[in-house]
Amino acid sequence: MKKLNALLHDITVINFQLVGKLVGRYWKLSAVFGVILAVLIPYLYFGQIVMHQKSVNFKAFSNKFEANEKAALADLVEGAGTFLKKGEILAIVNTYEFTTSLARRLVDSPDFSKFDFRDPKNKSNSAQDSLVECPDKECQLKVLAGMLPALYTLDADFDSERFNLTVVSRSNITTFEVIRNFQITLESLRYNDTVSMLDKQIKQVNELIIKSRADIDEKGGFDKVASGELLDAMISQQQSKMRSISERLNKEIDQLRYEQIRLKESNLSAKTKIGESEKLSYEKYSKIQHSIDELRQNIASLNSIAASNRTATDEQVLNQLKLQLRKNEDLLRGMGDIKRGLAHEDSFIKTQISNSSSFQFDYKVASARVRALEEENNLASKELDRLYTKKAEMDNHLLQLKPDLEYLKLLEGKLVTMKMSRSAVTSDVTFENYGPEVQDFKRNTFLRIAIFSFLFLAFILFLSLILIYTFDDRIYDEFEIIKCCDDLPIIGNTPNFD
Amino acid sequence: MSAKLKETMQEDVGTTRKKRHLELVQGKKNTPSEFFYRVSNPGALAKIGQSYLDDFKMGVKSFAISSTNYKASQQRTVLALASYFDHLFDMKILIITDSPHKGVFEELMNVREVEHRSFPSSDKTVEINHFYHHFDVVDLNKLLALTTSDKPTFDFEVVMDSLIKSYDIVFWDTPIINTQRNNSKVYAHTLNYFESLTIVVSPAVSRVSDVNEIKAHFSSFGVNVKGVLFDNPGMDNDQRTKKASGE
Repeated sequence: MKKLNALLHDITVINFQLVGKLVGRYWKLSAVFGVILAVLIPYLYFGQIVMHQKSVNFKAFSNKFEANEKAALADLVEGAGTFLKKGEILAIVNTYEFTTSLARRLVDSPDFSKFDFRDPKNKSNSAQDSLVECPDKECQLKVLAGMLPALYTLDADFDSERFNLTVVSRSNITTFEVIRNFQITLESLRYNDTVSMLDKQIKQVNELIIKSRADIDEKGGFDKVASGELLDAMISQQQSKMRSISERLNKEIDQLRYEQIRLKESNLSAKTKIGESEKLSYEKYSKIQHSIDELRQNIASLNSIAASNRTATDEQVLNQLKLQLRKNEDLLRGMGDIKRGLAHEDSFIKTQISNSSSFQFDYKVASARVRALEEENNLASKELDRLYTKKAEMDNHLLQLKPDLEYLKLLEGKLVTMKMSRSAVTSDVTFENYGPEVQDFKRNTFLRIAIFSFLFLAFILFLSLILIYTFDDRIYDEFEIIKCCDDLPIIGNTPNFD
Repeated sequence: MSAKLKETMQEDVGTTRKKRHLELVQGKKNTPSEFFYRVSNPGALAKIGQSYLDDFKMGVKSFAISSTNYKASQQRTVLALASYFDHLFDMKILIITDSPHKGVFEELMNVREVEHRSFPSSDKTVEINHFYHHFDVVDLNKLLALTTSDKPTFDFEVVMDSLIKSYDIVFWDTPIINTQRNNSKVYAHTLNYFESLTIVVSPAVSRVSDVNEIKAHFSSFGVNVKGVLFDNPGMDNDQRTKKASGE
């Protein structure tokens, strides 16, 4: 107890001065620990297994075809897709099916004999020995499936959509081939799962469609739908017919109006008469006009002769002609607005009188055609009303069947979508590209081993020193006398003789 | 020995002590002991000698040196201290040892002058070995021969009293502790004459339990334990161990 108390210090807890003294006192033990340290550090460092590590990232997107059927169907209807969660991926890669499938690919590899599947974190070779001693492939698969999970770790990022696969083994080729086959196996497994689930869903949807059809058929739904569609077609046809009649009717009505106006105007023209005074004025007007035209021709003829070549007579004649022309023009102007087409009007009136009966006939024909078309239009309108009434009744029946029909329609639409998805399905796991390079490293650095070895041995040495010191009853210096012999006075050293 | 008796003895020792006022003898001895000059560590001798001198001045005159098993160290210490006092003072010095023919004492015994001294009131004689005029050596075993195993005889007490009174200072080279313990009845007779006990310890060899045992043993007889002397300074632990085992 006195010695244990001596090892304690009020401030530093442990009396390091005494510990240092003990190191020197039991220097042989300390030296042994030093030698052990000098041997242990290289042994631990160079005795480490060289690890070959490679990491790849991949994304996993799920259409959520698994889970229960209702949820899957709901997801299908909503068209929802989600990322596979870490737990789901871990559950997949930890299944016996996955590890066995991965093991099978590795066993089938031509380089299988070069692979080293021993756990790099464990020096035990028992599993590898069991693998080597396996007599058949099934045994190899069984043993390897148990060994493989120790070689890889799977981590998810925070968003859980990216996964990181890290493979550590004792050889480069093993690490690379495990990663490569892991990718192939996972992609293949996910592809098969997706296809399998889609097939199941297609089958389920088909069954639902058949059941739904039977229910609707039992209610006469399809006949009603067909009748409705027929009515729609008939209505459409009737509407088209009515549009045609209407167009023709409008055209005939226009023609009738034309004939009516023509007949009226013709009758009015036939009743018109021209007076004698109006005829005389018109003849005088024509004579003066004719005289003016002749005068202008003569003046133009004289003007065509150059002024230097004209004779005095020519000049005199020319002046008389111009004078005469001016008089005639004044005279014509004094007659005012003379009805120039009076002669023509006369002939027109005569024509109208002769055509009046023809116009009358045309008008009657147009009227008859309009009446016929109006009759036809009335009939078509009545038929259309009848069809509308029938259609309304049919719609009322179909409204009661609408949920069933919509449901069937939805199922059929989704069935098409699923069949398209089935034909174009790919794995929902996508690995990023990676090269063949593999990182080699030792688990612990030299410095780390040195520090930990030193600390460990220093601690063991410390405990050993305390233990030895506690049970060592020998006196080495004044310290033991003071601490253990009740402060017995120390006189000095014994004299020696030469 | 009962505790009451022990207390009485300690009181008696205290009252009978007297202060000594010694003056150094200047040039008194023309031929001092050669052993004084043969001490290889005179500094250590001066240090411990001063301590014993202080005690001597305080009235202590009978100094015992004991150890667990370092007889040679005991003898060296006794001889060196005797030489120290012999060198400084003109006093009669007695060394009582159980091994006069071993160790450093052998050299003394080779040049000794033997005297068979008789004492008044006793017909017994004791062999006194004179080492020139420096100090005398007496064989403890011969003194103990005067006793019986049960109790000290009258002759023994007379001899011892007369012998101690006839010297200024007495150094006891006691048997090692195991010997004393195994023959406690015999050696117990001598304990009454120890006024001060010094224990020689050998670093890295002596044990705490041994020291405490020696201390307890002598304290139980009322002997004042003066302190400890470290043996073989300058040696490493291995040398001490070897030397100790050689002893």
